[in-house]
Amino acid sequence: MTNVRLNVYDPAAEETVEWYGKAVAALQKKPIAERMSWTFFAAIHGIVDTWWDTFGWSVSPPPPPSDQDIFWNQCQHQSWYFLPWHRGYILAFESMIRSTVVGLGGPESWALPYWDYDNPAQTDLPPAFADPNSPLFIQRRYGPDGDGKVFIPAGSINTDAMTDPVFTGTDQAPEFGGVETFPLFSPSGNTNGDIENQPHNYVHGIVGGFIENTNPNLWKNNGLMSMPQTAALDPIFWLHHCNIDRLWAGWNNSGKVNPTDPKWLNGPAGSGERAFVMPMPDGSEWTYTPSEMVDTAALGYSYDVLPAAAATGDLTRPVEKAVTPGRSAAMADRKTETELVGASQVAISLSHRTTVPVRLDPEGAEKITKNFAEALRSVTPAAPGRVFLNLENVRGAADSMTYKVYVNVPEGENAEDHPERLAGTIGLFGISRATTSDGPHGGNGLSFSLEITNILGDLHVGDDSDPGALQVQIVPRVQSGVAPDVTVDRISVYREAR
Amino acid sequence: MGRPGRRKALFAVSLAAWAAVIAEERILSLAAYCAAAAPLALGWQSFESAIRLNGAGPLAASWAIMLVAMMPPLLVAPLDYVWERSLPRRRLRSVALFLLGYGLVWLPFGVVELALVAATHAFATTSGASSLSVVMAFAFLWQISPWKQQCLNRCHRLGQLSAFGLRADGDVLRFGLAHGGWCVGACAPLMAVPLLASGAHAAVMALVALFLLGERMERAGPAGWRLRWPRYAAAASLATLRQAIAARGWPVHRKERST
Repeated sequence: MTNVRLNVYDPAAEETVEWYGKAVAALQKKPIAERMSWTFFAAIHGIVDTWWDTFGWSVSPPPPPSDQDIFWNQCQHQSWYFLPWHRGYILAFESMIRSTVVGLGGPESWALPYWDYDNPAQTDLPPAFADPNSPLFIQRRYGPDGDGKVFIPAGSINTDAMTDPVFTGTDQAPEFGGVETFPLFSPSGNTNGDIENQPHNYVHGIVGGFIENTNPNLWKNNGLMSMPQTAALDPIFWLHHCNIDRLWAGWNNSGKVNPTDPKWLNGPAGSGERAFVMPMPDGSEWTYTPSEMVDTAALGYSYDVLPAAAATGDLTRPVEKAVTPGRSAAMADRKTETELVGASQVAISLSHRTTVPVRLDPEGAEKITKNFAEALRSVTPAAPGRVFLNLENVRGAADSMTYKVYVNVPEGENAEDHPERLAGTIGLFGISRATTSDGPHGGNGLSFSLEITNILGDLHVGDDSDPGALQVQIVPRVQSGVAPDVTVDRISVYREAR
Repeated sequence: MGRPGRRKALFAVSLAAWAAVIAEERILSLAAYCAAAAPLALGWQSFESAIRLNGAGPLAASWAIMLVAMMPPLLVAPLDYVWERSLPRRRLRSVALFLLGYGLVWLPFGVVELALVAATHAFATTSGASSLSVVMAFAFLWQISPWKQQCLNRCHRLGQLSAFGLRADGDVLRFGLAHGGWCVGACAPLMAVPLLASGAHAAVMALVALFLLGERMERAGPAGWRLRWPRYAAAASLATLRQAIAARGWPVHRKERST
């Protein structure tokens, strides 16, 4: 039997949401020592005792150390395991909710709904979650302006990642699913995969936010959704990740394949690291690997509506080549080779709105220009080589911060008046953990990659701007009294080297 | 050159240097001399004698060859980083400057190592313990200390690299120097051990090299006093071995024999 996950805004999902609320209320009454409790499950993603305590979530008596070692702090981020791990996580969560719902007299067909914030009519927090009388309401959910009003600002998120041709990428071009985790010998663990960055990280920061007019560098001012160590406590977390999962299902449905590399298929357990494992309602422990997470039908669920395949457009848009299963399979483990084309100076502060000149190397800029000219001239539409803007090693403590990144806004004009120059948005979800030098990221912070092929295409088509340097404008969502303490090592431009 | 190609090049350089280490005898004359129960070889005298016996030039060359043998696998990560973060026309130059900075820290450190070895030998002779055991005790203490972990953590730190001109040169040189410094902090005590293992010098060096490589692959972690060893590398090697055996269809247990 296949359970169908519904759009939370669909009237048919009203009952689903009601039962969700009842189950959440019941589970929140259970102590953290119990595996089938709200707090235990949230701690699987991440937990910091002192923070939870301060926020009013009881952490004692704790479960046995063996349970903590096996289950807690598992979340996979800045890694190609991001999608498969979370798929298993929400699947186990859904089982827990379903079993609770059934126990309360509800339907066996209960399935986790999703929040399709990409739909312009559905950008507000689903009403049931905004109702202070509902068990789905969370006070520590501050929204884009820090005032508790939660919505996704227009024009701030996109699903451009759906056009990515391959799953696995590199630090400069991370592609749909992200970068290989901890490959032998090499530095890794800092770059966000495309779908992880957008819309995943951004929605976390925008929904959680931080208390208006407070210091965004202090964890205690953040919303639950803003930090990996507290995010899963918020009932909206699960609908958010359900949508991310749905985007992955849609990407596969459009003919693009998951990696065939055994290192991905076997998960970290294949290298002797801790396995992905979830507690189940029947008391058992479910261990899973990414190889088992590739087909939602095999896992017993489907989505009412999958996102439409990425549309093809004019030549200045990334053109979707017809992806046949054979071709896609051949591309499955291909790593995109890139070349540095230009960079800014090092050590830039992102505490305030700032414009950073990114000097282009004449050789590299010429290659890009030639590439575009060839693509335009060719008889059949051809995609030019992609160009990426990298924000390298962003460090700081302000997890809830989100930024818009613009390229070459005409001088003297307002960036907000030029959405066509918006390269993308970034959210600093997880940045404080990535910045501590004794944390798993080794103090290297988070790196972001935004595709700017479109923008450069526009610039080259009929524009006289000098390709000698790009002017990159970075605009924080909120400018509170205390500036966020955020820096970026370097902003650079990479081109796909073919 | 992609990552696999660069990796092969680094390992080829390392292997060539290992061949030179094994073929070369000079280091042994230092080790043999220091390890010998020579009651007259105290402190500065033994250091001086070692230099006179072998010649400063050849000693420096031996140290350099040891570095070229042991370091390349440990440098895959920062070299990948420098290569990928540099303009294509500057890549080789940037790599060379990084290695220059790195070498500028490690090469002179050979002198420090020699002096340390001589000092421990002096201490050992007067106290009755063997110099090898003194060095190993010190290396062990350092190994379990919080400072070792801090050095290991800093080895993961990636430098800020400008892309153009003299600034780029300066930044990558600085990165090499810094990386060399943290590497010395993490590795130097253990590197003293092979210098004293007479007769099995190359073998001990290989063991130390493997250990250091395993350590390099550990993720950064909190500093503190604890037993520290390359847990991840060991688990990964074991897992790879198991998979290789499974892939060949070799039976793990011989259960098919019936009684």
